[in-house]
Amino acid sequence: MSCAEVYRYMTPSPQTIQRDAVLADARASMQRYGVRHLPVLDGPDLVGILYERELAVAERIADPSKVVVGDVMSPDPFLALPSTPLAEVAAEMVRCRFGAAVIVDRGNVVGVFTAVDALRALAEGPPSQLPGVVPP
Amino acid sequence: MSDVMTEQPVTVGREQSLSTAHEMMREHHCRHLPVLERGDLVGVVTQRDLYFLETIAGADLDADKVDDAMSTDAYAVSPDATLEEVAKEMAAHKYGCAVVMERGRVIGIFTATDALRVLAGT
Repeated sequence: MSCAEVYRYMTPSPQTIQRDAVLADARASMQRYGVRHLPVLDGPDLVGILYERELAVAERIADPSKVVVGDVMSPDPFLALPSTPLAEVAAEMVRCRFGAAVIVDRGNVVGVFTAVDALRALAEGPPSQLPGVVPP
Repeated sequence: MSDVMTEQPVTVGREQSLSTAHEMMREHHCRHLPVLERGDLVGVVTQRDLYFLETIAGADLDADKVDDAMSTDAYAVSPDATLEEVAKEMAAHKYGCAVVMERGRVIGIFTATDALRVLAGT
């Protein structure tokens, strides 16, 4: 099993959005930064994650200039430390069908790990050969 | 790819109804259906596509066709393709799945969730 840490493959320093921002602002942020996931903050506190596919659904049925992110986000996101083994993060994402993991360090959001990041990790070679692996 | 794909030879035609696609997914416990037209891969329809159309766009599953729901962003690979090259292509284009085809027949699917399973070692 791979011992590579998740921080090596996460998308670092992700954009975040406040829970009371309107959906239109969230869409603008996703487009500007080319991302499909936004960790959601309430002040300094992480409270959820907004997935682009759920934003798209909400935009079809509601006025995005009036509905706030907090009403559409997925609360209680899956959290991991930067040093959490990649295999552990991936296993939990599969088990609980999480679309993303939010990587936090001392209470601060430092990255997001998604299925696309998993594909990029695999593109580097077999899991047992990922950097940082300690052979069994 | 043959080592890591999910074996799934089930496909659907673009002119078949969404309810047929829905039933096939249920019966075969799959969430992605490659769409073929005269043996050629022309798209992929997912459970999420069906859900979106049915609940949000008010689609009539019996009247509307797979063609209305599918994504034409279909990525076909051979069973001999390496995981690395397929993963690289999927990441670059953000494909949700790769359809594994051999001699013109669909033999499997590799999704982003399968990628996570590989990393998890399961």
